Amino acid sequence: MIRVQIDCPAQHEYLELMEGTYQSTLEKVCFAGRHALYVAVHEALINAIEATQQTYGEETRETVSLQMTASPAEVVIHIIDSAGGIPQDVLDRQYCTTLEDRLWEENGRGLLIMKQMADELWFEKTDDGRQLVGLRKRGEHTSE
Amino acid sequence: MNKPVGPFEITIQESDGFTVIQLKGKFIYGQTDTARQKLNELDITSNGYIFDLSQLSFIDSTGIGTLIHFSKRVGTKKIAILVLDPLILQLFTISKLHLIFPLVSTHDEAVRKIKDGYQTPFTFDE
Repeated sequence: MIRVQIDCPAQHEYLELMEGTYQSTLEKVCFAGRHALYVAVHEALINAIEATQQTYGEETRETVSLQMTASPAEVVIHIIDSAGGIPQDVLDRQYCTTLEDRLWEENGRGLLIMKQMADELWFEKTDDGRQLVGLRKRGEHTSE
Repeated sequence: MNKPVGPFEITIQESDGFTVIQLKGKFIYGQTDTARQKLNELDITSNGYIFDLSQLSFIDSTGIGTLIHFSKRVGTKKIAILVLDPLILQLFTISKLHLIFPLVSTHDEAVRKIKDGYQTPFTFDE
């Protein structure tokens, strides 16, 4: 099992660094199904960056954290930010709308894509009051 | 995501009365503003618009939103999307884009779909 933690300023220039780091780890672990997970994690990261910038301003140095525990059998990823969390009405909408309902919307697909690409998606508060989005993906029997 | 990834590029060319919009690299958050501006400036009198994503390595929800934005300008009947990457195709399918745009695997197929007035379940005119 491998554990990785990356903390970066909530700026889109750091996306590539965060994604490159955890993705190269998943390649080493030969985690099958990793490409679908990349899509889900990317959506979680851009949500965290956008929310942090909306809360603290576009030049913020507040961080977004990615924590990953990976084995060939399962990967669990936490994306953590200090932006106050996803509003409850947005979360509620996630459970009562489908991607068909959002065909013509130019944004708002991220959570639904995350839900489709990961095996589990959850939201919680950390002990220090930050917001955590959790993603779990189980390994497949064959590697990609 | 296995293919080589360069910086995002958008090129627009005319070909036999059709406008071919080629996207290369990653069409993602932080990269979509340039594309949106170029698409907003595009003349919308073309016979059709073919988005060639054959060189695209990744697209996210903001990239998809940009395609939706453009479709509202020109109508979905004049758009076809050439997509080869299995992961992008999967993402488009789960995002239900196949209900809006024809997703094709060759340029000729794209031209044929637009010329034939191919209609997806949620086609609309400009």
